[in-house]
Amino acid sequence: MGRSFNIVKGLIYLSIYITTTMVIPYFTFTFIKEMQILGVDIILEQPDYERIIYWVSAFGLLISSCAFFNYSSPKQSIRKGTISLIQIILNCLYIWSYKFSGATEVRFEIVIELANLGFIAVNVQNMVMLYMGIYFLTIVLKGYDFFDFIINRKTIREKRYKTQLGGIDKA
Amino acid sequence: MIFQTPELVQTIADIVAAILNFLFPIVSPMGVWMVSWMDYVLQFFPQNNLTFYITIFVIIMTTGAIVNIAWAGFKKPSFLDKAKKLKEKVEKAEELEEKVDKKAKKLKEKVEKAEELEEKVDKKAKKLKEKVEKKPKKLKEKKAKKLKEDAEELKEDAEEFKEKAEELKEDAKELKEDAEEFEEKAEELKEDAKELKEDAKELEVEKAKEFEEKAKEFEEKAEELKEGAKEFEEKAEEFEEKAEELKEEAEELEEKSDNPNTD
Repeated sequence: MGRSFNIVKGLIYLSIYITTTMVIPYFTFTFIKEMQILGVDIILEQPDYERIIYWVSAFGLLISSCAFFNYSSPKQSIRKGTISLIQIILNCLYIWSYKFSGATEVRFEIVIELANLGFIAVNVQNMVMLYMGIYFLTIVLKGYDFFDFIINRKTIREKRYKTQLGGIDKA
Repeated sequence: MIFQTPELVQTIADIVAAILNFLFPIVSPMGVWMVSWMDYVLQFFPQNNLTFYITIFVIIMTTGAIVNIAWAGFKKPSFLDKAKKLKEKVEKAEELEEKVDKKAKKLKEKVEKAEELEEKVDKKAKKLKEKVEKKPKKLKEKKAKKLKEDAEELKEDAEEFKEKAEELKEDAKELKEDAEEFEEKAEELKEDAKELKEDAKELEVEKAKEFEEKAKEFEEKAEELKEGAKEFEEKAEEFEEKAEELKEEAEELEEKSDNPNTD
């Protein structure tokens, strides 16, 4: 318990966030770049594939490092409140970077034996908008937490030490 | 299995769609606002430089590790330290209280003994005085000797009584000083408790109140002890005077027994 426990917790969350924000999106986009359904080649016409991967990697790195900082910080501390607020804002930017990189409007070309039969375009912009709205509410909640941690700092610290007289020094 | 029951999938999809449709008019405007500021902010992010993000990743990771190892959040807050120090002070004050209390008790016993001695010496002096006053005009030599011996004894007793009274006076002074020290400590404690009460919140306030009450109690006790010490001092002075008086009386009686044929 203590310092090492916090750091281990941070590392666990770091790996979770690296997996969910970088590894899974990378494999997903690589997988759907060229896929075949019922013998029909569906090629992801995404000239900005590299660009999507770039943004996924860039924001993935920022979010993962913030997750490490956030989860290795003491519970209800001001630094935890600050970093989790930054993390949620970065999350929004990460989601929006899909749109920014063109990933919210994906075009699939349908090719049968070298004959191009046309394309399917999937527009998930409205879905992203909805998601952003939910993120806005999350930001409001995190902001509330942040101010709560600042205003009730003493009470939180007292409770953390279970306040027998003089408190317990776990260090 | 789930793909074999398209109806179930359809139902789930319908439910999700209904929820999304319901939320869309409420949440979507928020999303639009979010998008507007994000579009602006994203302009400042490097568009083709992954090294920049890797550097920031390393910086945040290192800072996070250093900060959370150095300040893991387990250090006792200063106001809790204050409470601990205050507790120690209360304990010390309690020890002092006990010490002063013991001294006061001993002094009380001594005063009682001195009172007994006073009574005894007083009685002796009275008897001797009576004997000397009743003495025949011409006292026999033997009787005169006895009278002298008694007078000397009385003188010794009076001296002893005087010494005791002096001792008592010193003890009373010491007790008074201790009581004053105790009073100072109690006052200090009261101030500290007040400070703690202002600093701490919720749980600690109760402790601070407890300390404050204890300090008040100490203060009252100190006042009581101080008054007791004063009383003892006065009594000791009284004893001293009485002892002096008795000594003089004894000397007088000795003189009288030395010259039985005077008067």
